[in-house]
Amino acid sequence: MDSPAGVVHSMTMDPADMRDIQSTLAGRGEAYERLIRRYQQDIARRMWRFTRDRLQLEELVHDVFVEAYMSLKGFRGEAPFSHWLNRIATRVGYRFWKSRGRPTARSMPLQDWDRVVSQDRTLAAAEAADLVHSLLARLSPRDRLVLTLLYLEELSVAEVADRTGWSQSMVKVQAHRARKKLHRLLAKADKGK
Amino acid sequence: MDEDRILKTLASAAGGDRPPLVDVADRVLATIAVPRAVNNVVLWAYTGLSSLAAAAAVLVALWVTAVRQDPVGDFLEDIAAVIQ
Repeated sequence: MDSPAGVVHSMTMDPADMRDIQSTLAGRGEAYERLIRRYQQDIARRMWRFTRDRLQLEELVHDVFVEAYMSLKGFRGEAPFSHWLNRIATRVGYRFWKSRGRPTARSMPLQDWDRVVSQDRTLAAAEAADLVHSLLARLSPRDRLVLTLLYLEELSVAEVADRTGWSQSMVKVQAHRARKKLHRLLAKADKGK
Repeated sequence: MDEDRILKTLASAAGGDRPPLVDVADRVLATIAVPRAVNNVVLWAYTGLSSLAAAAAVLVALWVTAVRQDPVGDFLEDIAAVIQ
């Protein structure tokens, strides 16, 4: 897939990655093992956006590398291997959300969100991550994905388009809709006070 | 209530959040059933020890044969003694 305009791949293809990819395609498992060990923690960071459960995290990381192996013949080397892996990771995570459905149990009352982010104490990173994860979990997988990539991954619209395969226009429209839905959810909870 | 502000504040605070360490290499390789090459050092050590063991077995067999009584040789000596 060609990268959309506005996405600059600042890194060139790593020669070690290319060697290991070619060896993997030649049937050498130890080459793919090297690729896995090189990138698995990075992919784990990506998939940590999709689940806060450790066991599920390992499953998702496993699935990413299995899918990457199955698609390896299609890797053209036009962008760094990590970028290509990230696209697969996004696809695997999105599919995981679609298979799960939205949680019914609340982690905290929605009307308290404003108070939480306005308080003086500094939120611990893990606590903040849990909170935003539970907040976005109330959205549809598509809405949740676009806001996760824009806010948590801090990607630009062009980068989100690159990662998801959506057009930049679609990313903008999706982001706008997702924010509106979130606003309605929070406003509804406010009325319920 | 500003959802953009809430998301930005939480995302910023969550910036240092890191997942637990994972190691999925063995499972992935088992799933895709791709063989790994045998470690060459192990292979060579195994081959060397096997060859040594085989050579030792041959030497022991030869030594055992040599120290045993030679029935044919004894017989020929007996014949020679009789003839003489």
